[in-house]
Amino acid sequence: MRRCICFLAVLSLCSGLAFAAGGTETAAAKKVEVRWLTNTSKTDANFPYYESAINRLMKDYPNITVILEGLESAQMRTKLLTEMAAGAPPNAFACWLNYAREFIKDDKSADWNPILADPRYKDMNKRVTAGLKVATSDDKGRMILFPASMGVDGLFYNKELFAKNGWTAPKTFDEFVALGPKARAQNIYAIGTGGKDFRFAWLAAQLVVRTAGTKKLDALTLGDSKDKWDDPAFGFPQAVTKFKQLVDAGAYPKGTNGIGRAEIDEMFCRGELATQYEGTWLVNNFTKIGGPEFIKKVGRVNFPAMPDMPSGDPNSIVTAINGYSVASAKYQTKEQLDASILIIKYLTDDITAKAQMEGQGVIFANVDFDRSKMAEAALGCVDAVKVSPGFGAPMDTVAPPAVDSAIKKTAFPMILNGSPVKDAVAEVQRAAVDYVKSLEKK
Amino acid sequence: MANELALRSAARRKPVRAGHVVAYAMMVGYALVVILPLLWLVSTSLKTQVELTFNLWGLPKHPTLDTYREAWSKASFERTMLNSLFVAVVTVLVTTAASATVSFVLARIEFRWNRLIYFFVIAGMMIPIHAAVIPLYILEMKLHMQNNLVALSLIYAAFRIPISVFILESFMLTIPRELEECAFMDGAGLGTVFSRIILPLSRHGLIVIIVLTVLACWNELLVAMLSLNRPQYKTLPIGLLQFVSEFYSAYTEMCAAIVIACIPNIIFYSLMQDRIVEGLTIGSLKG
Repeated sequence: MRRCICFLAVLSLCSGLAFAAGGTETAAAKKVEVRWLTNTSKTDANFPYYESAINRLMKDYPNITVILEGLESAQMRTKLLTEMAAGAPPNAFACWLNYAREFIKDDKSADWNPILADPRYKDMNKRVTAGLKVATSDDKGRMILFPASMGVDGLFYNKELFAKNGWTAPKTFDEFVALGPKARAQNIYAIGTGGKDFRFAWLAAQLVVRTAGTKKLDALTLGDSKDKWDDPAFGFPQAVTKFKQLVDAGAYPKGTNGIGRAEIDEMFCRGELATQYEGTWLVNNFTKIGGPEFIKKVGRVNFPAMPDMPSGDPNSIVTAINGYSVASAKYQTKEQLDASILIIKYLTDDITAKAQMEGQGVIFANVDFDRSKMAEAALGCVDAVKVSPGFGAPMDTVAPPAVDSAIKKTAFPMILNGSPVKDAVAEVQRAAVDYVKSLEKK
Repeated sequence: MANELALRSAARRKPVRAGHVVAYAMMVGYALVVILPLLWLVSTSLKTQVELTFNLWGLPKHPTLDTYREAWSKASFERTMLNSLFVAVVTVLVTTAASATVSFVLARIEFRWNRLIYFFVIAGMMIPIHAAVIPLYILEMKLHMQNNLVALSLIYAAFRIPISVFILESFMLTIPRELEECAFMDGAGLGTVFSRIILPLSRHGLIVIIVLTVLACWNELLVAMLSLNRPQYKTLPIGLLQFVSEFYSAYTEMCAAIVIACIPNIIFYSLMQDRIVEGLTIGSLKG
């Protein structure tokens, strides 16, 4: 009994001393668990950088435990939407502009303006260029997501194949269309796209940029002209017509609607395709599946200009913002919110950004990196950002999801199947009108 | 003597008919259709990604087991397989226990609301899992049952019970009533009749529902993906997702992972082959 009393007395004395000495610190180091949901599975080139950043964070803040949940993109979107619908958003998550716009409306994700104004996170501001700030702000002035990095488009071409056949990388769209029959004569195709995976979101956006300009693309996707897809003033009918010209010129492999993205990458590496158009990540794919020698043969140019489209923008590129977001204070504790912001901070700090850029995955603003570590095609993307007069965004990151789906899953596949332009445009217009009506009902 | 034997054996030998040749050719063709993709799978799993690009159909020139090492590590097989196994076992136990008892009551005991209850139970077959995802998620969240493999098994069982009752009840209906009447006359209670007579005679039906349940929960992705956030609870289909991303697919590693993932199925099938075939064929006749 006496031993017991002595033990309790010592225990209470120790606790009291501990509280008096470091009470505040104990509270600050309260154990926090947060979940980071990302569309990056373990096979993705970016996953190791994320894993490393999260490990650094947990080492620096031992009280924070981060559950890193990486899923394939479509599955991640399903999970994110279900959790949002159920009112249980993940603490921090990868996000797209079109999704972020909906989440912030319901106060499910946080506004980044007050976060970036906090002195604790001032370093993060260097990633937010003026252009990115505008692109990620909504009409109420809220910053709907944190623009971590960018994917940049490019028309990637096989330099060896072009040199062997005496071709030059197409500067105008007419030259590109003319490449169709020339390539067929050599038993190859001018361009390939993963139709089975509906990889038309970037091409559709770039075609609108070339036919009507970036401002019209913004108006169609984000602005007040969301139901003008069949209006030639906004360029979409001309964009589909241009796509049809390419298809009719035999530029695409037969059965493109049934060919997957990965098969298209392999065809390009085997020299069965002259070019491939999409984002920076292609450089990584070519390195992995074509080998380190093959990537040296890959060049990059901007998507061809369209001199016959006076309203179009001949030089602007398409870039996708890789955005991150955190659940608002309504859905997580203050400690969790702080930890969630720290995740984003570590994912975009100089260490991660430099490593990720040199790994040829994505492009960060204001990062010192070693150019010698990057392939020529990836550097082409980096340099294109610096000189581009404007930026368009791929349809799957800005267009309302139903409209994006109508473009890539219906309209473009229809053209590949030989349908007329007006029918394909009508499908998109129908989806857009339905979307606008749904907004009015709300 | 030798001539006589030769004559007899020639008489016994049946003439080769054209129909037989065609039938065998078709069977060989069918076997090739089944086997070739599996051979391609194994062959691809031994190639590097670069070799796959330039040698899509050929045998690996420099076979490597690195793909298996990567696949094991990325899919965390040591965890995901055990989790899937645990979920499958719990689901099978709950499904068979619940559906056997419910089917017994509905098939062998006459009472007023019998058919109404039967249709109410099997109406569950008409609820697609996708329609129930959000309510299920909310329910799990409120009950703090996320990241819980037992809870996941209960959800799977809930979706398997209607179809299992549908199958098992039809099996039990075919058992002659005289058997249980004799048992009752010998003093057996309801429990004895169920456990000693009806259940053993329904074993083919039980095998059918066990096989279907194992297949369904072994391959299920959507509910598992939504319910399980922590890496230590992930199941096999989620592990296999790690080889695909929006922009890149590691095919050779994925093939290695599929080869590994097939092993438990092959073992399960080898051990249960006779019973599965027996159960499914009888099921097809009675069901």
